[in-house]
Amino acid sequence: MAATVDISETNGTFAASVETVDISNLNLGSDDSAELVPATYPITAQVDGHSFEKWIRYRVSALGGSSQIDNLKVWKSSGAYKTEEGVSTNARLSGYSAATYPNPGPPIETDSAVATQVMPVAEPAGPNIGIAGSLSGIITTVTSYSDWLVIQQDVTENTPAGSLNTKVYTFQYDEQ
Amino acid sequence: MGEPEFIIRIKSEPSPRPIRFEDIFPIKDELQSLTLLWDTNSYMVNRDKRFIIINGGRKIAFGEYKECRDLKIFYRRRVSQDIGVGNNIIKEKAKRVSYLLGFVGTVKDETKYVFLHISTDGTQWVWKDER
Repeated sequence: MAATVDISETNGTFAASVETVDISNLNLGSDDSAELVPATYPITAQVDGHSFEKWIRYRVSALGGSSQIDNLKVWKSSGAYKTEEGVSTNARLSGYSAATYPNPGPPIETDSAVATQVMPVAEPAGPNIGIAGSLSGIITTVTSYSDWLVIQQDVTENTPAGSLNTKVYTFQYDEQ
Repeated sequence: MGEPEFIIRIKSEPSPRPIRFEDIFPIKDELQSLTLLWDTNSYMVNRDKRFIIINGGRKIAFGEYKECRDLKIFYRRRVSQDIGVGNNIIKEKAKRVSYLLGFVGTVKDETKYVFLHISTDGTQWVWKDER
């Protein structure tokens, strides 16, 4: 038995938001849409350049015999940055508070005021995504969500044009 | 240096035996003792007798036990999922499952976790204050 846990992405305005469950990629670009094609929506290398924010959550639709889900972590597990490229997030190990989906929205393409932390590049020492506003929160009912995880690609005018390196993000959780 | 041996004893089986990845879920509530035998650090945790032994060799020396209060089974099914980002990645996703199985208890007013991290890639043991 195992819980059913997926990563879902939400796009659009608050009033007309669209959720995509079990996303197949986290491609970032110049459009507020899930599973976008980067070649169609490139990020412009410019001063203070950014992709659209990604607003994503863990979605628990079945506990599968487990009593709770907790210890949520995210990190970049592979993929080197190019010149003056980076990824920002709201994931953090301390000073945490839950983000709220933009209202009226939608997510923005300018420098995010929510994703202000550097995405970790190794497994964090503890949970860095919260549940119900707490990093030690737990999910015990379905269908339930984690707090929002916000990710944004950052570039500058010095980031070389062309393909960025492929990256992989690891999402981890515990069932008990 | 030899390879570590991970030995468990569970209620429904008469003899201790090596732990196996395949049977973590069904035996998780039956765990009575967990033993690591290794050349450098060995330990044994016994649930019913509420003690932890840690010593420096393959032979467990019972005189070195430490009392462990509030000893409980520690079990987690840990799932990691990769999601790709990049110019040409359209679909890249894989889920990996591992298990944390062992005990949590209090030794001299400090919470201690002693558990095995068991995945299809192998088994590691952990003695630590945080999971």
